[in-house]
Amino acid sequence: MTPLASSIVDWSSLGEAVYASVAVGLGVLLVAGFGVASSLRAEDERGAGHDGSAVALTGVTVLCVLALLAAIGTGIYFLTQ
Amino acid sequence: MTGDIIVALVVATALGFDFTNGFHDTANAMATTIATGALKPKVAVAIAALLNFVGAFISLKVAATVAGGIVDADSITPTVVFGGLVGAICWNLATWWFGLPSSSSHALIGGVIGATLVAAGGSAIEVKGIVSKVLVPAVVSPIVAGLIAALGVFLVYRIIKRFVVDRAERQFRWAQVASSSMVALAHGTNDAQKTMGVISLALIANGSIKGGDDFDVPTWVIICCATAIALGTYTGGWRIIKTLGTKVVEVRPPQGFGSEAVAATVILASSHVGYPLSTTQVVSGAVTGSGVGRPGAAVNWAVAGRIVAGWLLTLPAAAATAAVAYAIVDLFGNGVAGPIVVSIALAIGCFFLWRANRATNVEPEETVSENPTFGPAPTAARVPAAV
Repeated sequence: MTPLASSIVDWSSLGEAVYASVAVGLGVLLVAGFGVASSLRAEDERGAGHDGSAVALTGVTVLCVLALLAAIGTGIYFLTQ
Repeated sequence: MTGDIIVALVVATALGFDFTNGFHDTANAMATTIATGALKPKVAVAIAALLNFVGAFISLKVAATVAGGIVDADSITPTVVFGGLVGAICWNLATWWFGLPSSSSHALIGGVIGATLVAAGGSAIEVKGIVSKVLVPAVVSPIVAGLIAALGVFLVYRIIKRFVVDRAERQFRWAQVASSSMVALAHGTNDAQKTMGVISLALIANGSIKGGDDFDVPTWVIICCATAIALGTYTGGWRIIKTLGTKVVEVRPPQGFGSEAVAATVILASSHVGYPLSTTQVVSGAVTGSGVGRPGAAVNWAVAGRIVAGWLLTLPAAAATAAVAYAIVDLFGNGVAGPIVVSIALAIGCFFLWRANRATNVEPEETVSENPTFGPAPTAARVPAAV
């Protein structure tokens, strides 16, 4: 049964697609989640007068946005290959 | 001359299929974005149409996969391709009528298989190719997308739980638009190629272009397919958008973003390795998974079950319809009479369906959630959908 399945299905390609989907899919969602959380905390810190923390958290938000833009760019790059 | 006329009919039917593919699958990219109110319905379908058009030009890897490995290339004639397309169009229209997000790709593949079975017998079917390139990805992809979306959305809600939910959810608006746009782009790349593959099959069978593993898709085929799928997408399959956006689960922005981002990732990864994946199944799986992952959300498993039943029926139903279409064509011999008769019957059927749709139309405003995160709640009279 296993040799037959091995000969029919290209498990290597399928596995590659699944691994990439899990890693990138979860990664993108987590980065977006942290980006939103840091953005909201930055607003709260700014409201409380903690400008130093607000700037640092805004920096985290910017990094998250850049990471998401990089993910979009990478996706488009893969589409063109 | 007769062969050229038949090929012309095949190309026209293929572009008709591409159009149905567009409006059938608009929901994949934009249902969640419309449901939350992140984009107005008509703006969303316009963006999806544009990105589908652009996406069709990006890669041709899946077109090469569809053109080979499913059925024996030597057994394929233009009339076989024609029968397959008729079967796929009929199934696409039937599932659209009932608001079911089923796979246009599987309808197309099922149609080609059914027509080939009647024309050349079971020996012309490449079971290995069907299992490895169609069935296994069809089972794996919605499950993988659903699991990733469920876990991802659950983690996102854990991260933002210290904030007021409405305030945090609203931050996902533009991320949601971006992820939906990526799905639209990937859909154009993935699905327009399938029609390109089928038209290429007919052209190869007619001797119009050279076959083989390294065949080139003619530029006019690419342009026509891109235009057809974009026009279909712009038409907006509101029935299916309503089902996917409002009936499977109440979609909130993090869910919409999560499901579309995961779907885009799965589709891009599969395209990269050359799998002709069903965008519909991936998105439906991800949307359902996102409902499982959001605390307090309730998935309507009855609707989800009906969608899965539609998926199970897609391959055999499209194959059976295509087999009947091919048998009718075959009754008229090798001339153009058969394809013309079936084309006229199909056109008449489409006309009556269009008239019936006008009587029970689903308006774009009905595809917005009753409690949209962005913008006012829709005021149009709500008409019960088929699902």
